[in-house]
Amino acid sequence: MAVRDLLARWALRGAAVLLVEVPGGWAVRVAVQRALTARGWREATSPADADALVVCGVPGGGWDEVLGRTWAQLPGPRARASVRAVEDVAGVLDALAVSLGDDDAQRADAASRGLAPEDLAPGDDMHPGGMELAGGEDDLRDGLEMDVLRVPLGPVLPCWPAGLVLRTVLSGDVVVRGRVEVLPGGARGPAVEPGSVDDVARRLDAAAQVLRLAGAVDLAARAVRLRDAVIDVGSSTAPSGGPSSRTSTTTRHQERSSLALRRQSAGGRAPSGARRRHGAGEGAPSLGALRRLHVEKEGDSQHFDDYLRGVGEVRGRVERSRVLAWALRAGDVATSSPTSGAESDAAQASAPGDLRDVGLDGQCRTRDDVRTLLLDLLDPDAHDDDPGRRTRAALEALPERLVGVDVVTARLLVAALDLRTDALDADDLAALAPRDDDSDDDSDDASDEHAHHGHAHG
Amino acid sequence: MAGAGATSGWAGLLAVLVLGGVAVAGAFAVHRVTAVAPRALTAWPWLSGWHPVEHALSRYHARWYPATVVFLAFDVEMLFMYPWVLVVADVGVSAVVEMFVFLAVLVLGVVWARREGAFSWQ
Repeated sequence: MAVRDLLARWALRGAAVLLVEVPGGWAVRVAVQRALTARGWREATSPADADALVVCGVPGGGWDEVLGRTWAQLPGPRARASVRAVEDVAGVLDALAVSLGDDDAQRADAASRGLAPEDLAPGDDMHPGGMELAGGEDDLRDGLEMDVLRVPLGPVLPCWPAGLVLRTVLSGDVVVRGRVEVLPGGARGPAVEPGSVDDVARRLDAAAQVLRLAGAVDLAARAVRLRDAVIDVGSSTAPSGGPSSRTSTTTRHQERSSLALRRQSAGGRAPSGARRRHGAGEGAPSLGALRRLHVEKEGDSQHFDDYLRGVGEVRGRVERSRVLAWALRAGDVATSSPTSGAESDAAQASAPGDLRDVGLDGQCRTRDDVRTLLLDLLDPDAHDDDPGRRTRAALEALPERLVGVDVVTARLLVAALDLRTDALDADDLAALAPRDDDSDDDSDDASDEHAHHGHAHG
Repeated sequence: MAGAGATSGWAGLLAVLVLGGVAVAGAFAVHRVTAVAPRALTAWPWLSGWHPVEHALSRYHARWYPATVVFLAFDVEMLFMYPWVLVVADVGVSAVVEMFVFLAVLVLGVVWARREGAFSWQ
């Protein structure tokens, strides 16, 4: 039918794609993002917003359930694809477009799927949809006895590290507890040399994510452009020849990595909060590697200086922007001082995870940290000495650090930490594996055996 | 054409109704013809790929309700003061005394509510 075809073609001009990055799939995710921009498509922010689901990388164990549930939440017309290598991106997106435009197939898909979840029960007032109401818990916040909610953050979440699952317990919008898990990738990503082009690009990518979360979309777009420029510089030194197989990426990568300067031991003037910054500005590896690449390629350092100026401009705007300062302001406080009349004060004061111990300071500190980390990500001289070790340490400290912090700040902080889950080794992944460690006692949800309930009902 | 002039108001209204009805029916028909499924998809809330454990219906502490009632009482009290300012000059001292007695009663209520802890937010 002509109208349908017309509508399908019109809708395809701006399809929304939900990207799921699996650990090790960073390069693929970036390639898909660039291809989306080139097509005039956009990234979706949730399944309901999405026309297509694209998995970037090779999912390891534990992903099937998450991906299946996400896929079931995409309204039709919908399409799904998995991209394993950068070379496949264009072909996969073409296939997606064909699939989304095939009206008959989409109708068949919509007719064959149930339009309501099978485990949706009629329920009653105290069990809407067959679901338990949120319960209270020993009051940890401010004597108002708010309900606590168990909300997992990740892995399918925009501007979020690949595979990271943060199982939070929320009181209102404030994190009371958190537990970190990582869904592993099926294949380990290539090791990223400190100061290599990949490292520079990844830090710019992380900065772009923070800026996007903070609402500075134009600055985020500039950071993304710089990231893409850096990637282009890296790949332009690859052996000329068609990018046809995965081996070509590997060689390209090795060549790229070999151009990275040897690492230097971390300098002594690292300020608190900035964990990876080099003492010397001039000879820092990221700069050195980039400059050498540029000079090799162009014969001069013009392009390179443009890049440096671009990073400097973004950094300067982050430092000066009042809107950003407001978004990352320190005074946004969700927790409060002790209750005046609460009879159980003494009992609560010793409760583990009592938010009043953290109080105002936690929130201010975290927002300040986000700003420091963001500026650090945009520091052209900084680089990552050992992303695996850094990520492990950050993940270990994360649950404690998030206590008393609101959800938005938590997401900003996680993005600003630039967590490289693909750099974790097997031991770390085993320690951070998803687990059912407690009673699923009163969940009447038979189909949800694997819902990793963070904690028993209160 | 006097008759046309008399009925034109009704004709206009009728035209608007008919056109509006046709537009709504047309939009509905286009939706039925073009949507891949006539009904919307029902899905669980999206939790980054996980199943919700509990319903997020939030229940408040009872302390919020007295606070609301106290606020309403003072809001309504202001309504009495509008007519009062119009007549207070004519009526004289007795109107002033009556209003301040009224306010004093209200303030007693506030003092009592404060003693009960209705205003301690934290």
